[in-house]
Amino acid sequence: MATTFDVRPDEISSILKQQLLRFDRGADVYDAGTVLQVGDGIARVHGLTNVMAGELAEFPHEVMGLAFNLEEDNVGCILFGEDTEIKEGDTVRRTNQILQVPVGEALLGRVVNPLGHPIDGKGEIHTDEHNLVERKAPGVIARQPVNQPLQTGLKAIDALTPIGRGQRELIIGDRQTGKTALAVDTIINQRDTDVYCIYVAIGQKASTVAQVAKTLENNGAMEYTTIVSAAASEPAPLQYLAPYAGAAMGEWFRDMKRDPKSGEPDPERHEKFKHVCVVYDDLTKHAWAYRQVALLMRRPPGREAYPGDVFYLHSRLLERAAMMSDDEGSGSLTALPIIETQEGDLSTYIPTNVISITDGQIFFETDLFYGGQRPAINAGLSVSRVGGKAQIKAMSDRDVAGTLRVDLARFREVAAFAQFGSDLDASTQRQLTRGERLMEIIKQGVESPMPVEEQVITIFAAAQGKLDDLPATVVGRWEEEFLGFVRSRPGILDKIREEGRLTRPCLEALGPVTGYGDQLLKTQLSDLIDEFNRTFKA
Amino acid sequence: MAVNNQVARRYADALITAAKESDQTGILRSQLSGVVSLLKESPEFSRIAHDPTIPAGGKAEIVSEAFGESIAPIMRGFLELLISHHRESAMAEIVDAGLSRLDEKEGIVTAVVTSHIALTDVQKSALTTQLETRTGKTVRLEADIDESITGGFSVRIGGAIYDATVAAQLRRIREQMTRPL
Repeated sequence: MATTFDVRPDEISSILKQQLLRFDRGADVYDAGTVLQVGDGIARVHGLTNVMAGELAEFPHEVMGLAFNLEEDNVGCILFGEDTEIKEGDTVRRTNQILQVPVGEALLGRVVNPLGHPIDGKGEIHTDEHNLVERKAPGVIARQPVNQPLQTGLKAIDALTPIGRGQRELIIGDRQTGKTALAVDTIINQRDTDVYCIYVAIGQKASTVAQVAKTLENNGAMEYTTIVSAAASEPAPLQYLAPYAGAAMGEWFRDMKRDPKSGEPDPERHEKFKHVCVVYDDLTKHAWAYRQVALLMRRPPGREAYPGDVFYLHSRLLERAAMMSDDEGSGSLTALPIIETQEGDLSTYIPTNVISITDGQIFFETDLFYGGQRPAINAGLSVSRVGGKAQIKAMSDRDVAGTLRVDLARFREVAAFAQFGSDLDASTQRQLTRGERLMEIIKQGVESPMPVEEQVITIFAAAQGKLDDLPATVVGRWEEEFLGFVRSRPGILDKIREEGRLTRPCLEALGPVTGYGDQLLKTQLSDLIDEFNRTFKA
Repeated sequence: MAVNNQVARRYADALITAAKESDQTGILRSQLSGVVSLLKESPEFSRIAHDPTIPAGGKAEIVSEAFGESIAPIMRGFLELLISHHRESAMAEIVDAGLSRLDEKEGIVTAVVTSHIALTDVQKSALTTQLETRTGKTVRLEADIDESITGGFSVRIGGAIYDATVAAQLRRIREQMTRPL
């Protein structure tokens, strides 16, 4: 499709010539140093006299480095690239810039490395704004208590250990227990919400990261997600940097947007990009990378050879999650760090550190996983320190999730007696029956997030004992068919979604449709379930 | 190596202090430069200095026989000291450190100018004067040729680089022109 442009070629040449003439031909002045020693992803540099701690330095062959250790006669730099072409005697120049990454809308839908460079082959990322990678977390006054839910779409989480916007909830468990799957499903569930997502992959297999990207793509989640990847083949300094880069990108969403030139707040733009959820997968490998870098830099090793500030490594990262006060724009950054344990041991160094930092944990167990309970969440050890404040009223209602924890706890107590079958007294038998069906109802498949109103009605059914007469094994099928039944009767799901609670009287047009008049929503729900159960074939 | 740097500085400082006490700082520079050129021109000497299998006594003999009167007593004594402390392998770093310490004391700073084609003497002395005005020190200019810079020149002095090469300007033009609007 050839078009004739109005500008003539010689006009273009003259415009370019003018631009060249206007070009400022002054000299660059920069501070420089010489490489004394290089290897293992680090370099010691002589000179660089005025370099700041945490400043970026430029090495030959386009390798960037970070001034990590400022020592008496040399600067220890960690390299964000291959050290193979860097030689002793090479010149290193200061960039006069503390480490920062590009941030903004341009990053949505992209896969980048921790320096913000795209690695998905979709072209340059064009953005004016940059955020410092290391930044102080917001203070007490700048925050408000967590009060809005972050729906994960998983019944086990949203009912038992609900997550709120601005909270830090740890996902912890052995390998291959479904931790990443939980994080990915949470991201997928944010599709029709105002929450953006950042998935930080630290030390993962590149194939796993590709798989996550594909899953997100297939579920339409990539358009509001950024993936920051420092795979296992990347140098340890990049893996060390990755979570902080992810946090810096997330902070762009959380903080009030400002006009780049005047610095004036821009509330309109802020409304659109207020909330973000950052997944750090996983911080165990992050701690390993930091240990590697610190030992190479000759920092003294402490427990398990980790440097003494490995707690601070994670605490300063996770403190950047916050629910901001109304004065600061009411934005939020929710953090979902992941930790991998060995043999279910929660009492080792790094897990205990991160458990004490976060506002709760979701504990995955291998035994539960292989026993068919998936998500393999140990409801007894999992907790959310925000709890009901992060749930809609309908969910935290005492007839829905309100009794769920207690019923499950009672069930666990008597579960050992299940093998005695009919030799039990009636109340123990009841607890067992109820508990079994509750355990069944919180099972859920991958990539199938459930809207919160549907979660409310299914858990309500199980918690009210409507499934006690059915064999436990058909609960899954019951749920599927019941949801189909309810979706075909419009009104009740919409009502729960709109009202957010079950206790308001249902006043309007539901009457003629369902034939229930103006009864309480809860009563209507109960009757609906009974109606369905009459036709359900076990 | 970082270790050698500290070692080198200590020995060099000791030598300079000794020379000051015996009032021999004048000849020190030529003596040190002499050792530098010796190490460069005689691979044998360099090899002997780095060889750990030759006993200290043997090395001391070599030094006294080979140099005898041709080096100043203070320098010979210094070399024998290095040998007896088993630091002769750091000799090159030590004399380099000695020379740079002397430069520091005398306010001399080395500047390396890299240019595409050789600079004329007039240009060199103009540059030296400019640099001396800027830094307030005496500048010793060394010249280097690098064709890849296409034109212009760059001066490295102390920890700073003044880059007025055409290559750097072309890079900046490219960055400016390809920056998205």
